[in-house]
Amino acid sequence: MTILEMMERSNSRETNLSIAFIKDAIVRIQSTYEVVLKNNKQTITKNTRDYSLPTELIALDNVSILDTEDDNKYKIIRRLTDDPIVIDDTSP
Amino acid sequence: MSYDTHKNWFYKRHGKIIRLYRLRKTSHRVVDSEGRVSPSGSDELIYPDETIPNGLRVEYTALVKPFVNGDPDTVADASLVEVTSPKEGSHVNLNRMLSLAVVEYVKAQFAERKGDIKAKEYFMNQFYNKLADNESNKNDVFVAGTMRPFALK
Repeated sequence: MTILEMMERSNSRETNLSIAFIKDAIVRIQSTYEVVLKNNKQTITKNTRDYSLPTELIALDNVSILDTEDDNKYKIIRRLTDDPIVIDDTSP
Repeated sequence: MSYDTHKNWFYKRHGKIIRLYRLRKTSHRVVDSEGRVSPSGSDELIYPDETIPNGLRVEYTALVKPFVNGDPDTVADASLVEVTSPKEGSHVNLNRMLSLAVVEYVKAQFAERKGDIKAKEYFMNQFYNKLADNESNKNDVFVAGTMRPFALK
């Protein structure tokens, strides 16, 4: 469906505002439903705890770690709900 | 060498970063130089203790080609080119049902600008109804049953 058709259906004549609302709607859809998934790979560095999430991220679907001893498969890891007590704390 | 990563690794999200932890299992008592004995069998979380190239994969939703030059219902996704400065003739890269949901959302936002909150709530309800329709359309399951003469006894 074109932007013009959406504007006609919603009885709007403000193109820029309609485009902004359409973008908001797509973000809202993507935050609730997985219409399109992207993936991002980063190198894990020894003794480094923090890794940046992609700037374009709307909703996190899953996080996986490479299992080098099982045919280099990515395996989904679990999320912690609380801050853990970590020994050998070297990160800031 | 990373192994059993689905059992030994964990993450926690903090805003725009994620924190990775690895589970270190200690199965026996360890005596330190002072003669003290650590508790037996305690598993501890530590920071990643090895470097793994491309070891972390994050899957997420994002705005991927929100506006394109062709109709996504008739043109294959790989052939669609993203339009970075959308005009009235640009296509929204969604299927028909989601496009109709977006129309309801736009109507709701314009109703809110006019101060008509009841209309806004009505259109937002329509928006979520269409999203739900789109999701339920994926769940059609064909159930086949055996006819009696051929059924196993």
